[in-house]
Amino acid sequence: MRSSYITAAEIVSPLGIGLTANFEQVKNGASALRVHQSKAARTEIFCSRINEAQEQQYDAILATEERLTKLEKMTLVTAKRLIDSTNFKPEDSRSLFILCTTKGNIDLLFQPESTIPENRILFSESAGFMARQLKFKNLPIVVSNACISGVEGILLGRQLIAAGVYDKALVVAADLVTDFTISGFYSLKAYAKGRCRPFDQDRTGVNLGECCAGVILNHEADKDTDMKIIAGISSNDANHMTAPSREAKGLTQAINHCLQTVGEDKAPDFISAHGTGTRYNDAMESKAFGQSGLETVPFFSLKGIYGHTLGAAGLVETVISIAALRDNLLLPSVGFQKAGEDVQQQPITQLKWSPMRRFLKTASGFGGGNACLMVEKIRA
Amino acid sequence: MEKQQLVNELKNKIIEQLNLVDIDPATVNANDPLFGEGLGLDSIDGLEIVVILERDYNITITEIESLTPHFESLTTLAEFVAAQTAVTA
Amino acid sequence: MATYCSIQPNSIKHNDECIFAVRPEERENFFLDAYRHFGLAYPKFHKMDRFCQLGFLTALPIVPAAGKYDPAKTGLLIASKSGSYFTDNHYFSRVFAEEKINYSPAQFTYTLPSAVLGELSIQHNFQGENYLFLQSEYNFDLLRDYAKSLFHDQKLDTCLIGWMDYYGPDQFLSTFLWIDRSDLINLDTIILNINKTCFDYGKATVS
Repeated sequence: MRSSYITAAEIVSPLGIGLTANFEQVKNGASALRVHQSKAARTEIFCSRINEAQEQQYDAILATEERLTKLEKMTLVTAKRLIDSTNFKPEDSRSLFILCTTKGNIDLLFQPESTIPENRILFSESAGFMARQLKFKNLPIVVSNACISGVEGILLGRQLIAAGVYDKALVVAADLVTDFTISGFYSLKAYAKGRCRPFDQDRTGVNLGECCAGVILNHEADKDTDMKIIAGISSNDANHMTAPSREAKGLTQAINHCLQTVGEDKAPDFISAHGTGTRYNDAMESKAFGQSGLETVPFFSLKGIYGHTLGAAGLVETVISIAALRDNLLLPSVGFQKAGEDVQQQPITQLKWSPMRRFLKTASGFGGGNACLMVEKIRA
Repeated sequence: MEKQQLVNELKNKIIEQLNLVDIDPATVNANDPLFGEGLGLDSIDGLEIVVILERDYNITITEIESLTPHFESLTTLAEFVAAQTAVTA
Repeated sequence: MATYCSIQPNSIKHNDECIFAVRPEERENFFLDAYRHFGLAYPKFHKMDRFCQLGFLTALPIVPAAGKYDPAKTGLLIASKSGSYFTDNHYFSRVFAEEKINYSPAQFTYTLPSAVLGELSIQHNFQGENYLFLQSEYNFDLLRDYAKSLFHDQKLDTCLIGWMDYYGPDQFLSTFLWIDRSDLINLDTIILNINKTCFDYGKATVS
């Protein structure tokens, strides 16, 4: 199987533009979560949003006459940073653009006065528009599988590169915070009271976040390449539309596949968990870690920093985890104070230096999907 | 409101809100289980019933788990609604 | 053994044979009538949005009975242009019509194009790799390439692949194909034929 190397990783978030700027904030214990009043929730909520000033920064960077949606601005800024940092050629016939999102430009529904063509509410049309802006020749592919979209986008790129269909893939994932999704999570009683508390005994649900992150996958490493994807797979619980299987069957199956693929001597040094802060997810995930023999592996959730960024989550968190792996840093799981009885292990609580070689990223979502991948550092 | 009247009102609201197309209201008895067997509702349907309670009866639900005994049947649900609305009346 | 099912307004075809049809004047009840035609007692069908009902009905004639495939090695790959467009609009107009929010948690779960993956996985116990792709042009090429790759990787032994769109009561199409390892050798030919048969796909769009 041809390998997939990660030759670039970027993020555009409420904490700033670029992976370096974001990781500095993360190391300093920053959180992008802020109080927010939304008519879609009866009480005030916490979420992480890109503000108008930041959006204007994106406008300045892109400097285009084209009318862009907020999601498109976030995505194009991220994509341009990725392209500019490598020798990636979008116009190459062997290059692919993959977009991962759950709701795309859903904010257009709330903007009847918008002059953006109505068909850009279709994910494929928006992706096609952005692909043309970036000068891609191939038609893009959009991956949309709830909260596992971000991980699946990477798996898709990796698999198509391995099969020789493409040589390189630019994978970007993005989602917005809108009243649309707030109303949904709130009515499912899955929105946290206050800040989200992944794996904590008093956790009450999610805080939503908006963010964009991306990677470039390449079948060849260049002289600076330090990261490689060594395993990955998705699975389905086949159980319930919104709640994960209590026995953590699907996620355990996916994790076990990854561990068997890489072999015993390549166990992960940390797990970048999904850790949404809901009662069901965190209990299930903790169970999956135990059932796959990873109960002593350090883990953290990044959702106390970025919120739950839905379709972007898997990629946002993979990118931050790459920075952590690169610097040999175990990150604290922001929002966690004390483990409940339904969480079998305690996540990391303090920033800690530790020489490391690889991590496991896990994700689970509505529709019963689970996905994980393993990243290995191939040089110090 | 008479309990039987409230039971029927809740029954119709539930059938409508949950789009229970193949259910004939006449076959649903007040004491039939709502979840599992009987009407066979699941947890998301339960949340839709919470929407009905909050929207149509002005009942504020803070703890979902506390609802379980009240959601056993239309009868227990009607009793719960009657008690809550009497409190605020 | 590859087998496929195709649905367009008012008729369902299984391997080129029409297995169900309604007259144009009866098309309002197409989904309900099709569900009843298959004689399945699955009350959850009525809770699904049309996009999921479409996927559900298309899979029904072609997925083998339980026990004939390994759930953990069965994949589900679906492509669409419309995605959850219709349901998103429906949810928006229902929930945000008035000043006061009219919540609907059940409907919200269907405002994801991948909800159909969940419904099909629950119905048929599909536990393997599962993806929902949004594409602007109809063809099965990505589904073919991706499925092949997953078979070669030993991640799958069987797979349901398909294309589906729902834009409204008179604008929907679906074509699903069930394949196993023995079909890999002929897969390119099978896909060529499917790409030709439904050439009107992808032309429907947001109006």
